[in-house]
Amino acid sequence: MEVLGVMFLLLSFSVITTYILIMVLSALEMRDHRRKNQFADYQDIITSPIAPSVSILAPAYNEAENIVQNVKSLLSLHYGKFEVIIINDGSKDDTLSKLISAFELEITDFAYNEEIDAAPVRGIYKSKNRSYNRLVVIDKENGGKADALNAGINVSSKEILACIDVDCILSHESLTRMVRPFMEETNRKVIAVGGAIGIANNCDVQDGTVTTYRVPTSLLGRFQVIEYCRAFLMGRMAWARVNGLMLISGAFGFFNRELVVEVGGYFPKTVGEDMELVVRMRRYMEERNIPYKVGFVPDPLCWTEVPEDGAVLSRQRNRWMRGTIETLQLHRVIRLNPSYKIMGMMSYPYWSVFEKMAPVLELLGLLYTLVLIIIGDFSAFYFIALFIVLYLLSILVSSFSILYEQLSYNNYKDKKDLNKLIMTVFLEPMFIHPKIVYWGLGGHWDFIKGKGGWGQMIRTGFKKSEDKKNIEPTTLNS
Amino acid sequence: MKGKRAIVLAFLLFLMAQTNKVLGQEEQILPDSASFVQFLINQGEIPGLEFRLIDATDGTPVDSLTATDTKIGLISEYTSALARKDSLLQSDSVSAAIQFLIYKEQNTFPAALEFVSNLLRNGDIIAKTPTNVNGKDVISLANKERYSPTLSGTSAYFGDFKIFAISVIISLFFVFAFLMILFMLIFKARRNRKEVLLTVYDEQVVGPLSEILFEKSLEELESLSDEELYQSFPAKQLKKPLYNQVLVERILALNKKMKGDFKLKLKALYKRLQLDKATMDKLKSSKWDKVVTGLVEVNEMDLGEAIKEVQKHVNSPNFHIRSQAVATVLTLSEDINLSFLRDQAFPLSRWQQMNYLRIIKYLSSNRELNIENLFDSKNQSIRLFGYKLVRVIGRVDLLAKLEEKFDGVTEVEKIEIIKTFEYLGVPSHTELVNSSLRSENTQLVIMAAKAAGTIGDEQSAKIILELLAGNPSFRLKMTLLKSLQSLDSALYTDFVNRDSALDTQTINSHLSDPLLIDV
Repeated sequence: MEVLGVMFLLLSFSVITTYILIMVLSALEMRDHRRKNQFADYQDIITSPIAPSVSILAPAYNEAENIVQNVKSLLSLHYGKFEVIIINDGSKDDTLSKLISAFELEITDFAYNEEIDAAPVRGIYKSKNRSYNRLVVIDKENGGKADALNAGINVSSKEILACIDVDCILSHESLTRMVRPFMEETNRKVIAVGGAIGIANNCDVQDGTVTTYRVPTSLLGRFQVIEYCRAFLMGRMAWARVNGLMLISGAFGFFNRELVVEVGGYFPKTVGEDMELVVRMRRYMEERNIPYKVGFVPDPLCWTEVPEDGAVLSRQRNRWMRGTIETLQLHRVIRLNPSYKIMGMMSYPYWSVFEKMAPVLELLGLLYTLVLIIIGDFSAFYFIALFIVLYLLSILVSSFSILYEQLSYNNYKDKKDLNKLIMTVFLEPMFIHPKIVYWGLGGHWDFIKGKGGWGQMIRTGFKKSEDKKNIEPTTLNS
Repeated sequence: MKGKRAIVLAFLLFLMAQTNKVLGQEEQILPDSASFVQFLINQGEIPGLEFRLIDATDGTPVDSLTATDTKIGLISEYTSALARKDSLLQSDSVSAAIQFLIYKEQNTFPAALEFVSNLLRNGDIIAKTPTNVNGKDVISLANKERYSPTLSGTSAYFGDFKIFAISVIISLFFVFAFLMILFMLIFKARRNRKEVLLTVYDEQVVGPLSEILFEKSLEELESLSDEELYQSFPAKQLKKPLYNQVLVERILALNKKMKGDFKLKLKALYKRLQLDKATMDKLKSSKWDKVVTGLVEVNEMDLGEAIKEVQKHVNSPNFHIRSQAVATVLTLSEDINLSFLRDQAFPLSRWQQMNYLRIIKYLSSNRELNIENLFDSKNQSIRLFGYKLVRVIGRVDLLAKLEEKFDGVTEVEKIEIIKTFEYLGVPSHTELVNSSLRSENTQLVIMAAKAAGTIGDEQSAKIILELLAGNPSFRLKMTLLKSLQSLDSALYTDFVNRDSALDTQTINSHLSDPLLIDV
């Protein structure tokens, strides 16, 4: 019992130390980013012949309601060399017919080269209207998001892949700002760049950009604002500082196409395909000893609507947890392996302990407390003291992320919004966090039951980064 | 949902029950009358408790016989009451009993016992320890000692390491949180103040600037006395860094929009206000962002005299300083040889290339730059940049030089050179394209195949047919067929008619589809 107590105490201290370290690193990175931005002229990139070309890949499944507006918004982005590839992933509604009529599409004889395995493609469409010359629409059988992206990669012809969710709102400047890290490096190859995602619930959107920010009306929605600030402005910035990023959001991520093809594209059998691809790309570079970097741009360039309904959010968190477990399982060879440097020695252990195991450890902590109470060895003093420390840490980290947002972008200008966010910071550990833990545990349980994943393959894992290429394709249902 | 609530409720009730259990473990403080009497003897005076001697037979106060004051006869210590009782018995043979008074009210022995027990339990009195007379029976004395928590004193915190550690961490958290809030408030206040000041200074600056620009000639401006100048821009204000910053930003912004005489006037004013000195100071700063700001100012204000200081930064290890320094030297330097660029030690990023390209493109419209010098750089990225420049600026006159160098360069450079030939579309240099078609480097072959479609000849078509016969990859096959189609449509048609391979037919359909011309 004493040993367990010491272990939990050590764990608590490591949580505190890690989060303080993350705060410091992200502050340094944010400072540098802000300074760099002062001198950057993004206008040049739009027309420069030296700027890289971009293929925007947006899978669509039953998106008929907003697909036309979303595609128009994508086509109006300010950038010189780009194409928009919409992948209709076997939608059951009239997504495709709406696209055909709105953009005057016609089926083509496109020479589809299946460099990466994907579900069968039924047709590739282009517009007769030269105004929509940048648009390509792929109609394929349903295979899930990762499979749709793989089909899009096969059709893409540009240097950089921008993989996004079709319902995301992109700022006009999104491409110019996101390609910058690809252009800046001199000694390292930039393999991927992640972008921050803002929450569009309750905000005003005009011409594809959020014009007025307002916090969501529900507590769950506001919690996600804070969570996104913590994740994007703190966590990812800190990891980018030490080149340890293992996750780029599937809703807004840029990748070097050549490398994505080289490693075999997305792995459609995991629900965490975005994280899995980044880890596999990193492994590829490490295994070949090629200097590389995974960048991150914290500017608000992409917005999405988050679920404010508990049931939907619980499914999302369950999926995220399973995706994390599956990715870590698939690539467990890198765990504490010095050959993989930062990724093996820092990022992987961090994800294992603080992301994957966090809900399990919290549950164990609770059970441990109960056992102590039952056997009469419970010290209320230590319990309350530790509880206060962790509660304060939560408040500190969340406040810090709001502070970042305020200092860097100041999007939530209304004082009432700020007050609501601060109130949420205090309420979150009590009312939201237990739910997140519960949903995370659900993810663990579903993983154990074998839901969604590809049992044997995930248990065996990838011995080399390219092992994914040897897996036979099968069709999945979305 | 109800089920979950019930579980939570049950858990809370369980916790509460356990808490009661813990509290219920309180021991009996004074278990019997003997221990109470002993306690009274040891303790001496107890607040609120007094004693009085009464006649054992009728219960009248013994001392009231001798005194009228009711207070007389009240005894504060139990030992004194016992002594008085003994002396009465010995001297007057009076049999007296001890009566208990709680806050002057008569009470029974059990009530007194309960009262004292409560005082002890609440910590209102602390039991006195009898002196260890013999100094040996420590354990039995310890057993008699009432339990008191070790955490009651300040030193106890420091004695327990875990408590100390947790206390320190909580304190640090509070300090950290406090500092953070303080920092946030200070930062916000400073920023708000700065924004207000920027607006105020901007209003102060705009008027005089317009007046000078539109109402004074360059000569008048240069001959302005200090007093006249300070009337528009007060000396007191010029000492303020923020005011200077606003002034510089305004002048820089105007300079970007203005042309001819106005530019000269702005530069003259910049120097008259000695803003150029501040710019020079920035170039010597230890902070990279300040140095870059200084470089931008030198560049925008065309401060040629600062060129030597700027040149010191062209090989700076800091990417941003280096980039801006090279851009500034490119703009200001009269050197058409681009030797400073040729001698760059650090590799050029695409970002830098993009910026330099813009400047060189602009400069090349006014004067002929010796771009060919870049071909001799020891730095491969500079050489590659040189080839790109030929392409973007359209220096067809340098193609012969590129052809000369072609055989001696790396394959990456060959790709760039072929790209340049293809872009400029000069069909007289087919040899390097044809030789590259036979390379083992796939990327080079793809580039050469692509270029062959634009600048190839009959020989190229023959090589392409040879390559097609060798079952190339899909991507290469597509490029080869596309080039063959543009080079010799008859040969192309003949090939696709003869080759029944699925990928050939797929590519043929693709290349024949008018909607896919650009894909």
